Amino acid sequence: MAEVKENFSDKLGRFLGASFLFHIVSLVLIFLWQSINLSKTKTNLIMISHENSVRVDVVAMPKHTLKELKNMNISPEKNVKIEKQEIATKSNENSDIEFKKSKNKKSFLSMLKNLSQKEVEKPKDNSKKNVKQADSFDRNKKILSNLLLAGNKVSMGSSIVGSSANYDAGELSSYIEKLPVLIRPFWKLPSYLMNKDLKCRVQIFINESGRLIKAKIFESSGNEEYDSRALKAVKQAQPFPSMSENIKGVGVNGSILLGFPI
Amino acid sequence: MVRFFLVFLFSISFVYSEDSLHIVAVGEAELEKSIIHFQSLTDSNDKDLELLSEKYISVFKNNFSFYREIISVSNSNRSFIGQLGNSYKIWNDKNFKYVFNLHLSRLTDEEIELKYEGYDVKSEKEIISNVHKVKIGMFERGLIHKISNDLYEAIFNKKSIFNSKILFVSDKNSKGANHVKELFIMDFDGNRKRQLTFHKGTVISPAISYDKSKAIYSLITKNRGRNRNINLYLIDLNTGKSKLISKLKGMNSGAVFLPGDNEIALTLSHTGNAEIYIMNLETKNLKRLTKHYAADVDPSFSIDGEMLAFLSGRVGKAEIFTMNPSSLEKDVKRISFVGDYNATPRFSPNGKQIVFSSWLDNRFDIFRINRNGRGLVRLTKNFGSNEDPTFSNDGEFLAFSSQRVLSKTKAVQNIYVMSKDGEILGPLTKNFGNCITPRWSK
Repeated sequence: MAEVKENFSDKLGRFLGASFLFHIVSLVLIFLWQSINLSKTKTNLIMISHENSVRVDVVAMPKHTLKELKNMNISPEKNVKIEKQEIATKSNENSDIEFKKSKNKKSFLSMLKNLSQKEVEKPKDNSKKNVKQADSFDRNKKILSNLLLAGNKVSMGSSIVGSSANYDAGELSSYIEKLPVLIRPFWKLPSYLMNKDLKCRVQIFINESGRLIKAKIFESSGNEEYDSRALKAVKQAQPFPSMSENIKGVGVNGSILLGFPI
Repeated sequence: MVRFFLVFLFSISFVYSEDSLHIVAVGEAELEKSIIHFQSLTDSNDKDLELLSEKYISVFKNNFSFYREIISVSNSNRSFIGQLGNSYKIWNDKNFKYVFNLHLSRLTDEEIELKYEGYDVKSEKEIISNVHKVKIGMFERGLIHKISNDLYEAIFNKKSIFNSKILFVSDKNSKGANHVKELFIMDFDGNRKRQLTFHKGTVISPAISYDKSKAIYSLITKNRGRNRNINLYLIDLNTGKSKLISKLKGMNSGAVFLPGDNEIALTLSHTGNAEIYIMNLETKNLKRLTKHYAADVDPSFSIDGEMLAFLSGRVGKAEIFTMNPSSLEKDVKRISFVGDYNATPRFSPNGKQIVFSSWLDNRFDIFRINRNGRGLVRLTKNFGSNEDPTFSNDGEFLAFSSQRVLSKTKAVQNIYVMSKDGEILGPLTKNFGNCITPRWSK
């Protein structure tokens, strides 16, 4: 009987030892597998590209010349979804906004699409933007040359490519699209740096109030002067608009990249 | 057991976390315009020579002011030069990116020495320099244009318009009811206008060869009614001699040179209908390109010879088409879809765009479209009636004729120049009759 007991406890000990070993090995394997996976995801940063897009249909000979179109304003914050909400809640401000609109230069889109009922120019941004907006068309020649089909139907589009999570995508997109308009007036190159297919990306860290904490080259163009001019343009363009609670994390964490030119 | 538990906790602590970057494009940069400063270093004690030097400087300044979109000409009339070899510092302080020095000095009673240097201030180096001997009493405009082009090329690495010419037709020799239209030539800036033909007839649709040595034009014969013909002539621009090269029945017009200057494309109607042909200037052999019962006129070749643009009524009204000129009716493609009446399509030097005039709001205006039919833009508006656009040799400018109404019974046409995006620079002709059909040498 004792012998049987002894055999049994031996076997049990061996079994437990084997089981323990097996479990340790499995855990180590799981641990290793997860850490490999994690290292892969760390390098696959999700890039979300924000672009303004416009749809154009040719229906007639252009009414406006190229020069006239360049001198018209474009306001990238014309996100129709958000504006509709604002109209519903701020109906008493409508008359102010309508008046301001007639005083300022008519925007490209309002002229062609007759969006006068739908547009809202955010009053607090207006004063800063007016001067810079007047130049935005001038600066954006290459993109515009494909869009300048005046006398034709144009509809506003805005495209977000890539996945997004944990914040109001519309609000963030709307904020981010304001940045190029502010930076473009300072983004200049001498002739020897133009048309050379140089690209750089600048990573910016903005605090809640819109102040630039840091700007650094995320991807260099390979040309020192090109990079330094891009950084200079960003620094000169501040202060940027303030960020709301929802999206300030994105600014503070340096999750915004500015592409010069894309 | 505890160990198991600890290991288990350890492994679940690696939670997958998402990190995203948001990219937004700032777009293409604007050109930071450099400043170029022209200065005379001619001895100020020689008043005549100093005056001549200043006149030459103003020609340089006027030339470079055409390119106001990419370079600024300093309006200072002073000369800045460092005594101890520190000119670069002085020029840098003045914000000059390029400096050009002109020196004139007397060699003999009959000759002047014209010496010049051009400097890139930022790189602190001389980019051009040369010496010429010129005769006293001659205003060497052509030489100044050549030097301007050399300077432009040294800075921008491509050719400028400064050596180019513009052909045009003017009726300034008309007297009363006798309307006379002759062919003229002028510099790109409207100077040195010179009459080329003396037919005392009606010259139409000229073209200049690529090497600027010859021109072709059509002349409406003086016969009346059915015997009236439109004949084709070739003129040697060096000797001034014209010769008749085609007198087929009907139209021999709208001729343009093909690259190489040995062949021309033109409209002929000897078959009873206006069609486009290629003609060899030596052999007079014809190669037919279009075959349609509607009129096909106004050929324009791209510089690489790969594409032909023309006007055709084949869809019921005058629209612009392109085709492959290697054989008859090959790859004919309609380019313009809007506009009541489109006319005179002309390729840009890089072959990527076509300019044309179109009837809109009771006048003609100039439009530009990509060769694939996209990107239609309007270039002129509220500027009279604008026709016959022609690209400059570098594709940066357009010359065109513009009609202004002076009174109920009087209107005048003059040739104007504008940037390729529609910025009007100004007139090239004035008080020279009605000037039409400009053709810019390529």
